[in-house]
Amino acid sequence: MTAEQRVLLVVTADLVSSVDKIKQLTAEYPNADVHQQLLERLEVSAVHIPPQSFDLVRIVGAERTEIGGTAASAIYDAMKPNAHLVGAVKNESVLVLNGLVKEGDKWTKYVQKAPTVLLSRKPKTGTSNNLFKRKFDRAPPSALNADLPPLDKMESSPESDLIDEDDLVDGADPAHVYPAKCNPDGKRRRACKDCTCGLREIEEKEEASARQRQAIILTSDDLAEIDFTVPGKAVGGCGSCALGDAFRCDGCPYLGLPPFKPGEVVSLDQFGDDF
Amino acid sequence: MLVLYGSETGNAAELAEVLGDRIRRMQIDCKVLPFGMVSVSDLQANKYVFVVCSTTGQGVLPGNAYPLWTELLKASLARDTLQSVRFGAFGVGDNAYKQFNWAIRKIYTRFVQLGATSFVARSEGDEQNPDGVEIVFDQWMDNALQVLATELKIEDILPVTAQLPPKYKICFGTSPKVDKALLKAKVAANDRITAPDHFQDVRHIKLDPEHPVKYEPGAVAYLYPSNVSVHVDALLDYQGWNDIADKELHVDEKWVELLSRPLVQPVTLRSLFTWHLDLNGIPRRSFFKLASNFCSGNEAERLAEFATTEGIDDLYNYANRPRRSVIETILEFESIKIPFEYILDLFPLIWPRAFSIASPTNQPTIELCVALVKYKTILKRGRKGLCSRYIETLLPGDEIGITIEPAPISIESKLQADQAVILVAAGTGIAPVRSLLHTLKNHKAPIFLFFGCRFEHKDYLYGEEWKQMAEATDLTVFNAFSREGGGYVQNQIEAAAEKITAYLPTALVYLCGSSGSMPRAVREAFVDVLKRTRHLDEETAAKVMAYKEKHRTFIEETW
Repeated sequence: MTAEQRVLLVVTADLVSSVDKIKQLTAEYPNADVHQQLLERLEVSAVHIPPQSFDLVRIVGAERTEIGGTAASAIYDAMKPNAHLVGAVKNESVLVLNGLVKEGDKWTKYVQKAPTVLLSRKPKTGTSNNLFKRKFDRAPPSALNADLPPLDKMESSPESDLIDEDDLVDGADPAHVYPAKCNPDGKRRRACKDCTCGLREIEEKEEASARQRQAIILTSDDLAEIDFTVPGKAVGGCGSCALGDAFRCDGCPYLGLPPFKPGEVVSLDQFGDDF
Repeated sequence: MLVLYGSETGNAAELAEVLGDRIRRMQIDCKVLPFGMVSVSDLQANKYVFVVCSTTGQGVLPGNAYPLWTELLKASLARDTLQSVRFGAFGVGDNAYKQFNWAIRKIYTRFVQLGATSFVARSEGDEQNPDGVEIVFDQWMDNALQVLATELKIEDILPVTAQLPPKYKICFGTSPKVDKALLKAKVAANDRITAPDHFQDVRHIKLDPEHPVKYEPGAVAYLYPSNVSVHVDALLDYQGWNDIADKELHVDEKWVELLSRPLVQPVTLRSLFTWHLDLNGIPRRSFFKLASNFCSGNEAERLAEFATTEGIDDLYNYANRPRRSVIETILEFESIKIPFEYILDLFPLIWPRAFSIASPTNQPTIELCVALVKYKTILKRGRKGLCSRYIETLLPGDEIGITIEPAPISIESKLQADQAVILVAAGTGIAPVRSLLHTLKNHKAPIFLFFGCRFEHKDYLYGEEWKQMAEATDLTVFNAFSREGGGYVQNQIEAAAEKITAYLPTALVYLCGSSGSMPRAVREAFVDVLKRTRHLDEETAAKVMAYKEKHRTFIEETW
């Protein structure tokens, strides 16, 4: 014979006076031993529930209930292994953080066994299909869940006399953010750092083709000396090519080379190949 | 008047200098200083305070914003502490980070809490913005200075083209001795750990410090790179400084205060250009602005144009996009003749480079894992990062100066003996993870490592070590070899959903690697895992991760 079911109704303050509602809820579990606790009292640790003593926890509120970290941790501790939690919870993350697993409308506290099986590094044939099962065998140790600080409290160490600087950000208006706008058409702009609109590719293509152009001018394997006196490689029509990149046009074939005097041999090897 | 900056890499410092220059043109006495260098009473003593601050880490202020920031966070400060202060705030941020511009928002809110009045709307620049940060900054600055001129009834403003006297004095003489010193460390090894045919050169560096240093996983080592002598010699030669290059100099103490490393002595032009003034970095706007005064004709005009708001695109194409260095720029402008007394004003400072320590914390040797930066741009010569070149040349036996900064979050004190650990690293992001893993050799709870790189046999950093460790501990490794069809770390996380879901809410999650899309994708993958395996809605699952982050069981170390 199995022991009788133990049910915990966790009721919010705004509902606790509606006796009818509570009665009606209790009636839903005719064969169970139904207890109730006030959520707000759990939150301030005003009550102690014996650990692992309930098979079902039902959260009851006027609307979706917000559960604080302390209360959630107390509820978790009160649940027997494999016990369920039901009811509309607003901040479900607090349940997740306390190690409950959601399945449909209900949450389950899965059995925790001492870790015996190592997660397989080299799955042997035929036994590698048990990962899903093992997950539940090895739920996180509950000691950790108890250590979780309340969700709704800021992290601050009591011995510190400093304010929490992260609080300063939550309040600051982000009104003066200038959003990144890509503008591949219209006025030519440089590509953003993480460009996704294609401008970066355009730029890279241009650079590649600029390098290509130089390769035609230069003797293919000699980067050290370029003789601009060779006929047919005269200075361009704008007359600025010799002055250096600061004065060269967009498509200038000399882009990337140092300034030179027309007729002079340009040497790149002053600093070796690298800068 | 104060212009304060919180800066990690020099961007915010540069904007602060630009602002300081404009304020000086209004004939107002103005100090440009790191935020952390002043005290609360310094703030109270100034009617106007500007703050330009970038955001680092998980939404925190840069290192040079302390200790003032800690002072300001004291709960005991009265609500009228900064009542006499009128302030303007500008943030430098990157929208790719979740904590976009949190630092300046924190400063702003705290200033207001303490009674200060913001006299110009706070503004936030975004590195992701195609306009860059500068255009937004210029608008904010123009706006702020207009308000300032009206409030102070200033009409006599020097034109932006007028040359101001040097901010920092330098002359022949001796400089005061500095007691501070870097931690000396001997290079024990500097080995390439990627395959020879891999595109990237990643180094495993071993350093033996002169005395043992205690640190925790996540601690950071700073290296102080120097310019190479060929560049120093070229500059000295080009500017005709050869005969004075080794004469001892007196430098402004105000300038010395700004240095992130102790002044290298004796101070000479050669020592300044070797250890303190950056010749390899990309020149910023204030460089072009000042340099235009030292050129003539077309060249002066062109340099001045680069420094204007309208010239930002040209400047970007000339300097930033091809990553043209300071020394290259100087060598390109034939007429440039830098007056010796302006060098401290003109040249940017070398900033130290931070690397997460990769070694087990129980050994004296400090190990780093560093990817060398080397690339090609439109410029004919290959590019190398200043620090990469410096590291490349380090040989066993060399002695270098370093500093060690403690981990931003003490993982060891957070981690419970029976708490599962989920580690996610991409590339050299493995460094702090490796440090942590070696301290977890006897950890009782399961450890999951998700590591992403390109090839199993080319850049699988420290891969051998995990195989050994997995035999002794409950360590499961999931590799994402992206060029071998293994996807990225986020794909591996999603695929391992069933294996990690039971642990995810309570586990300590540590995510390391370069910033940008990886951290975002990983976060989404975790949310997805919670959603799928626990049947949660998106919002709830996201809240769980946000909660973990808030309570530091989800720690990001990205750069």
